[in-house]
Amino acid sequence: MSVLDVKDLTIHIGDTKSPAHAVDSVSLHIERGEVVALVGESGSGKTLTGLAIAGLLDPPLRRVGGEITLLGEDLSALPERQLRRRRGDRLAMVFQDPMATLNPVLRIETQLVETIRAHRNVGRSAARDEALAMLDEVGITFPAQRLRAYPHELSGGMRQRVAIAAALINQPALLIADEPTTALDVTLQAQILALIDQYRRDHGTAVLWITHDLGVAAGFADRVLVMYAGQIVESGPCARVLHAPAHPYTAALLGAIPGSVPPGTPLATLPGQPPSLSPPPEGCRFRARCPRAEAACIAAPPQVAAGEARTVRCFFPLVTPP
Amino acid sequence: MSGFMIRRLIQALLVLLTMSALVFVAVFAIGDPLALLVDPQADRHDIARVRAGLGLDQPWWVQYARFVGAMAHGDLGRSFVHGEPAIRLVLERMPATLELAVAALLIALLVGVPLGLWVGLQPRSWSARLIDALSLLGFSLPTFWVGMMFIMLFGVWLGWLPTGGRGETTLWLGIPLSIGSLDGWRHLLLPALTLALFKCSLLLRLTASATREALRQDYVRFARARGLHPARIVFVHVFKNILIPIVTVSGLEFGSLIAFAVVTETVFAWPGMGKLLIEAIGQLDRPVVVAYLLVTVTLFVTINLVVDLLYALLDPRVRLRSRP
Repeated sequence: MSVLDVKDLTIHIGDTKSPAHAVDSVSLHIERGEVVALVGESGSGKTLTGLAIAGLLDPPLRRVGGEITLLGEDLSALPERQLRRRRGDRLAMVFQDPMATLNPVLRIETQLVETIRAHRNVGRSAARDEALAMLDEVGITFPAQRLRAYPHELSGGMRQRVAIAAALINQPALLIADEPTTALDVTLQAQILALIDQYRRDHGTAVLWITHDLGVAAGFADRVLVMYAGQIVESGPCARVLHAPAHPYTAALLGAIPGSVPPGTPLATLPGQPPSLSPPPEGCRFRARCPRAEAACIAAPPQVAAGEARTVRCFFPLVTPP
Repeated sequence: MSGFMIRRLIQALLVLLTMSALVFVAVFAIGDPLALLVDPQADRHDIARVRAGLGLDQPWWVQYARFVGAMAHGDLGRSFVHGEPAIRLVLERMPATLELAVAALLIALLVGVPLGLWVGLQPRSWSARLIDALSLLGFSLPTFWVGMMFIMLFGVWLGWLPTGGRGETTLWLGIPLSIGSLDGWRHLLLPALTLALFKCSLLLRLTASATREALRQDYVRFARARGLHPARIVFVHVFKNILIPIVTVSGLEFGSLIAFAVVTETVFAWPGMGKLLIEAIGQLDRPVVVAYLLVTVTLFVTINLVVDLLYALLDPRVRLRSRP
């Protein structure tokens, strides 16, 4: 059984008459101990997918369809009260900006202890001991002192460790990480990645890693899902997708990474912009920017198999299906 | 901390000194108090005698030097009209004004903050829209008009409440207060409500916008992602953050409640410092005007200091220290 199984998740923004189709029929699954990277540019719907799984969409965002199954339980049918009991317990989420994630006027101890006591009937001092052990586990030095500190007394990297500690303190089965390393410098990025990787190995946590950074995905994820304009356009094992992309968009993204061309030559860029999604364009959403587009692309391409454990949403993939 | 306090005290003294000079010169320039004090029938010798007796025959700089010298000894001079020490006149009236201001601030806080929280949390509900519209009204109506309408409605038409004076006062630690008796309460209610209306609207709108702002912050989203109870998110995570602007504004507004209770005190014949000031200005009773302003400025400075201390208590990011 998958830890997380999402089927046909669809999210609209705005009024019911002419909503923007921000996320369109996204399906994904994550196994125990597996890291899945959800990769896409800003506005591709990757963050909304993460928020929807956690049940954190606020108006004007609406989940209008799809099933979200966590550990065999259908979350999409649960009322908010029940959903709240799952959040921070069975599934946890960390966000991008460690400077803003923690409440500035509450001590680290308060924020860790309240997370424990929201879900488990644990005494204050026992919860405090747990919080101390958790800070130690995420690699915070002098945890007893840090527990008494306020967020502003910690560095950005330390704050992200604390946020991760708060997310993982109830041993969730699934961690949704929404670009938690984007705001940090490269050294800290590597440390945070190593930290989450180690935790996953130790506890078998499934990780949905939301990022726009293919480099991060490459070194860390088992599988990668590439999103464009609200749809998953390609999925498959990380190494194979990144070495031999099937979708022209994935290929274009890889061509735009610094280091993919010899120094001195300009990086490849994609002409145009992502399409407006209210309403979404007919047919393939990447059509207008695609170097391989042909007349057939006016029809919407289905998601088809593209080699072992791979899918692609394209009529003319770069990798021919078996 | 102690460095901070010393610095603030020096600042306060400078403010007091500057203010006294400004007021002295301004009141000096308005006119000759003798024209009002002395019987029009009095002859020139009588007038000259009174003038010399009050020290008004000296040039203004001599008068100011004497005034500052006396002030350093805690003597703000005697009222030209009453012959009593000016500071005593002002301090006698202070409890009435403070009582009114505290009552008004409490009403404003107890009504404005919860309603503001509601409007901030549920901005789309019809009740929130109604409250928001009413607060705009309370924000816009002039205080003296509201006071007169209250008098007309509750005092004259309905006859429920008295329209002037403090009513029966009781002594608390030697200070006469209205809140000790039912009659006092009945007298306090209308002026306090009048004075509170504007502040209540102000605090309501401030609380509502601070709440909306706080709800958009990442820490609220993270708190929700951790599965905290909504009540805890609102009353701990959001409230502790919005308390910072609420306390700041309450402090500043408390100062202005004391200073600008003048109008309300006049409308309701409330025997406070404000009413004394109006009378003193009318009679060009300079020592009383100066004493009133010095007392008010001292209160302002003290309140601001208390707000700064509270601020450091509420916001761990603020540390009190004397900046170089």
